[in-house]
Amino acid sequence: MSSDRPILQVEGLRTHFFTRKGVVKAVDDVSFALRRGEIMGLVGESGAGKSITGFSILRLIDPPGRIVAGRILLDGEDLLAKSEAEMAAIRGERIGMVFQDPQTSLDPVFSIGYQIGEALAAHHPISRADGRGRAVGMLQRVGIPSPEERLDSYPHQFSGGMRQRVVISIAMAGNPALLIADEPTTALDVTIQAQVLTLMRNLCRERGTAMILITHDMALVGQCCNQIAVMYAGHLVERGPTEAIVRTPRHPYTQGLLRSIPGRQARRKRLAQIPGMMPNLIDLPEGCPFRPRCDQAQAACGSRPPLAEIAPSHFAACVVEGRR
Amino acid sequence: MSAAVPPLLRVEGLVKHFPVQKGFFDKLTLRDGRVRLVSQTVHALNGVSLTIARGETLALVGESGCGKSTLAKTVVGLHPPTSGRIWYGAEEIGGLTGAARRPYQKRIQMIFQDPFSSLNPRKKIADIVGLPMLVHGRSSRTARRTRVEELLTKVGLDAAYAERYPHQFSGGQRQRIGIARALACEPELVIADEPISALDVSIQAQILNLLMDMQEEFGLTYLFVSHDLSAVRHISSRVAVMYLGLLVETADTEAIFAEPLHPYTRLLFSAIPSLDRLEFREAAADGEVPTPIELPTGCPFHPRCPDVMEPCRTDRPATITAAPGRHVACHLYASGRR
Amino acid sequence: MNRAALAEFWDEFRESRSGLLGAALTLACILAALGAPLLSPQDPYDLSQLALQNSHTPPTLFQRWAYELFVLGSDGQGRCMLSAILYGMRISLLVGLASTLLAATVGTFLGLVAGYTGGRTDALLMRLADIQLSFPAILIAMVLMTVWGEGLFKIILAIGIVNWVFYARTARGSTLAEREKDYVDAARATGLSASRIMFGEILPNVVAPLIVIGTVRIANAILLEATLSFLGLGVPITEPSLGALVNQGYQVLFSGFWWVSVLPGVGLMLIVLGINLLGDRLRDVLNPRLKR
Repeated sequence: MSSDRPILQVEGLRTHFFTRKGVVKAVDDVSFALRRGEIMGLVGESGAGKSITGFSILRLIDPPGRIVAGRILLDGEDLLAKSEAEMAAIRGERIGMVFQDPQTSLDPVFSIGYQIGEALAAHHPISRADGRGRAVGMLQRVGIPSPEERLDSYPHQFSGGMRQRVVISIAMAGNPALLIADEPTTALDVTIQAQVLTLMRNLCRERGTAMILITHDMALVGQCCNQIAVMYAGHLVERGPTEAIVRTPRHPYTQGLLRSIPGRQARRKRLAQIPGMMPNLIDLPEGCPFRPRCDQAQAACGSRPPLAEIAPSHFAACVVEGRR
Repeated sequence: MSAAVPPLLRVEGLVKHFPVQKGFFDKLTLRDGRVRLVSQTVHALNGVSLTIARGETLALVGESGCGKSTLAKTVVGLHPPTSGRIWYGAEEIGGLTGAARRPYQKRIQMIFQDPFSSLNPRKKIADIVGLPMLVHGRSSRTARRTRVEELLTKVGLDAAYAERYPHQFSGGQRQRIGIARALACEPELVIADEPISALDVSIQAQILNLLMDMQEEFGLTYLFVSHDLSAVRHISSRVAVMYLGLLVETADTEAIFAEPLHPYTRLLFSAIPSLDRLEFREAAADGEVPTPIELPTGCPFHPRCPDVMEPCRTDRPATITAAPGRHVACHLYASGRR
Repeated sequence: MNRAALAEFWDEFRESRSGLLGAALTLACILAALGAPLLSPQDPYDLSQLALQNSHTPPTLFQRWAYELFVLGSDGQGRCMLSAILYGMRISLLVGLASTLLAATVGTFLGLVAGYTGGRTDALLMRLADIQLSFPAILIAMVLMTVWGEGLFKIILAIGIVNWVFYARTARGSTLAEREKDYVDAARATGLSASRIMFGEILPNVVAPLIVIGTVRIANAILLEATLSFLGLGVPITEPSLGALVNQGYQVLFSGFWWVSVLPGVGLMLIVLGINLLGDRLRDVLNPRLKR
């Protein structure tokens, strides 16, 4: 029974920011589910709300932001109903997080060994010697050469790729059920990116950890994800198995996005571009947020399209496509 | 290549080194219990030679530390070369500074990577785009203003935006403003240093289209520095691959993507995720991108090279012409071996 | 900058009560100082208006009978304290503002040049600043004023010399940061001369933290001048600042005529408090906006 239940279920999540200039609905009614060991790509451009979704799951939203509605079920338990102390126990232990910038996610004044030890000790009491031993094992697993010596090094003595590996090892230390990776490879060189992704994917496979890979890179999610969710202006506009999304996208935004990636059309010819820009999220008008830029917009788009299943497991929030 | 018309830009044996410690007090360090003077150098460029023909788009690709940005900045004149020569048309410009450099600053312009720091936040758009004109002689304020509005329209922005400030614009719009600024004095060669890396995917397409349109309309020549291979493949006519301050391979775009010769080029291309093949490919090689402070001996790529051989560790490979228009610097291809 | 930005600034500024209080106090003091000729019942420098029999009259609140109405009392020469304080405020503010302006201009200029040029110029200027900072400011000012003698212009100069370092360091730091930005590279690539880059491009971006520092340092300068005047090394007695007034009243402080010394001190406290509160709030409001 419990192995059938998705490890993560997000239902109707709404995270709003109440600023002086108006309400920013950074995440507006987002729902998805993730099974054990599955990798989901959460794709969107800057301002789409994907990072905020990740933070919301970890309940790391600070004022003026607030999660105003929804349920987040981690293995059946609603995270939004938990106290801060309970969440602190869950973060790092049952949910791991990897952030984008390896420069700033590690504390520059403490050694790597200290930081790993700190992360381990936060959840279970552990002796110093044991902590070091486990840290060495973890560093080895993520492919850092000579781990015993490197344990006493400081973050600035590592390259970007190495730092990210350390961060991954800390995130996976507690064998979490879920790993949230927010643009983990964006700041890295291409060849290092490939290495880090391989590492993350293999680790998740090994331990049955589900992963949410938040990124703006469509090609990346195409490579390593089982399902893809596309966000635009706080809305989840399309969701489905990777193959379906990449080969047969149904939402005009997803279609436009894929079409505008260079490489899908003749060289040196004009790329198919999506006109305009993402709207200002402050006091966004009703209806489909993509409407101003959509070439298929109709009168019906004035009211918000629901996320409808247009093919098995393939959902799109589009009135026009839904009718086809 | 016709010998009669000189290439628009020619660079020969360009070397650029930066000192890590600048000044006496920086050099003093405590090492092994004794005070020593340490003098380290960043070997950003280690002998680069290339040419750019009029009207073409040469892409410069590579990862961090390869020197592509340094090359771009040295050509524009922001860094004086440590050694080596630069020709623009038939004239040598490598060592020129100040007033002697001025006529070339008009003809070689640059588009910068970061749309947020490339525009002076305290200046109006009109002043930003008009600055090159001010420096290079168009003195009448109305003439400048007219041209600024003309340029803004050309890059797809409202002429009224000239009165606004940079913070009122998005990244894509700022990049358009940067392009307008680069076009202000009717340049011939435009060096674009990672012009789309900081932008969202859908905006990248818009800016790439704009760059191509401008090239067609004004007969521009581009040096396109980027690490984004899909953009490079789309926009460029030739590609030059750099690693640790050296050119490892140069070829026509189609040829290099069809069959990369140099092991580093192959590694680079294989690491790029593509939407054509949706299965996961394990990373090809391990190893870090080394720093340009301590260059490996011999071929700079040898510590990571899957095809490493004996001479690679000691001898830096010379650049050979593997085919017309194709140059590789690799011992694998030396003496006609393939 | 422009109307919308100012409106936004004011909106944010007025959220803090202490900031508003500071602004109000400062404004009140400035208005009082500017309007001294109109507001004072008596011209304190006009000896003909003084009558010795009025000397040491307590402030009105404490008077049992009103001979002549001295709202804040009178000093040893029968001078109206209110008038003296108003005119004294003038001098204090003048010295504070002028010396700050001098220090800020010179300091910013040197800091910009040091930060942009780098190399030996930078090293030289910064060592000079370090050397100066190793002496207490008050000591340098005292030495200068002792050597030069008293005088309004001289004290402005002295305090200016003492304070340039703070502006120079901040300006240099900001310049170092701005120098790395692409817009400076763009200006250089276009062929702009170094001085045009420093003062045309970089300076506008460096000014904001300096305004904050400057505002708070005006209070500092006023206090420094007050201290020097208290020691007899500041402004001449004929044009007393608030500090000088405190000094003059000091001798009779323990004879029971407390208002001659204390009230100018209260005036001093009000202006310094006002400026400090204002400056603090300015720093908070301006700071996040710098991150664009």
